[in-house]
Amino acid sequence: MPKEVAIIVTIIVLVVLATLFFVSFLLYVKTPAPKGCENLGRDESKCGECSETGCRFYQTAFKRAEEKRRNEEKQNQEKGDSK
Amino acid sequence: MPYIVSFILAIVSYMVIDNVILSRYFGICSFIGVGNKVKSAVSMGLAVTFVIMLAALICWPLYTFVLVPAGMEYMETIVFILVIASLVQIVGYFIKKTSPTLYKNLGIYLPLITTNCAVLGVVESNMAYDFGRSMANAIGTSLGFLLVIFLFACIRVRLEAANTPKAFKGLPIALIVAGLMAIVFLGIGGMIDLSSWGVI
Repeated sequence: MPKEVAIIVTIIVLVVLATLFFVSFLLYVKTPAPKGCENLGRDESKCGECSETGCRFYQTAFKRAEEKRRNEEKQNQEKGDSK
Repeated sequence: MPYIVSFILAIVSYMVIDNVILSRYFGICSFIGVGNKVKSAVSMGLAVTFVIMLAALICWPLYTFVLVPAGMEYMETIVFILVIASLVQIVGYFIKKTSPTLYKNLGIYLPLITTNCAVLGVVESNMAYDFGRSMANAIGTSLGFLLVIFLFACIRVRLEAANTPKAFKGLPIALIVAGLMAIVFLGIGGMIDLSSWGVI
């Protein structure tokens, strides 16, 4: 195949694939999510304590659990003092 | 040896002996990141399986009948990336439209698959093979990915309940387990010798 034709074919293939990608991306983004699937990300408030220390929700959930434990200890101490 | 037998042996070889994660070290990010819950691991594995098979089916003819005759072999990487990215978007679009249940289970993993090097790695390695072997590679690789990520998730679920030292909880013990699994699969490679069977 002559060099000029090969370059033209290259450019055509790239343009076609890039167009296909943009069209498919637009189709995917514009299509609304089905009912019940609007927020598929992890819900921080529902995270419990686990061993995944690398998870960004772990620190928040851990701190929340620690705070809850301290509050409960404080309340128990205050109840004990009042008796 | 009949072609179908060598095809099946090739699938077994790519699935277990030349495993995509534990032997070829592709797709490790999703293996470590998603492989801590069985359900999410299986969902991810199934999504990757589907994308690998479709990508192999599209990219091999595109390379053989378009890129090679035009002398454009050097464009294979960017062409494959565009094909895989478009394929994932199209699959996501159809899942959104047709099956809310499937979207709920797989939808969050689709953007992760676009950047999964296992898909690109399989498609790139297929270019050295004929169509039959490339499909055996795609099927074996994707089933091997699913198998390993499922096994890893099962082990990690058990490890969460185990008395692991604090310093090893989470990622450190997961990496140790992955290393041990790689050694196990290395041993399997020694048990089966496919070269003398004339595998395709």
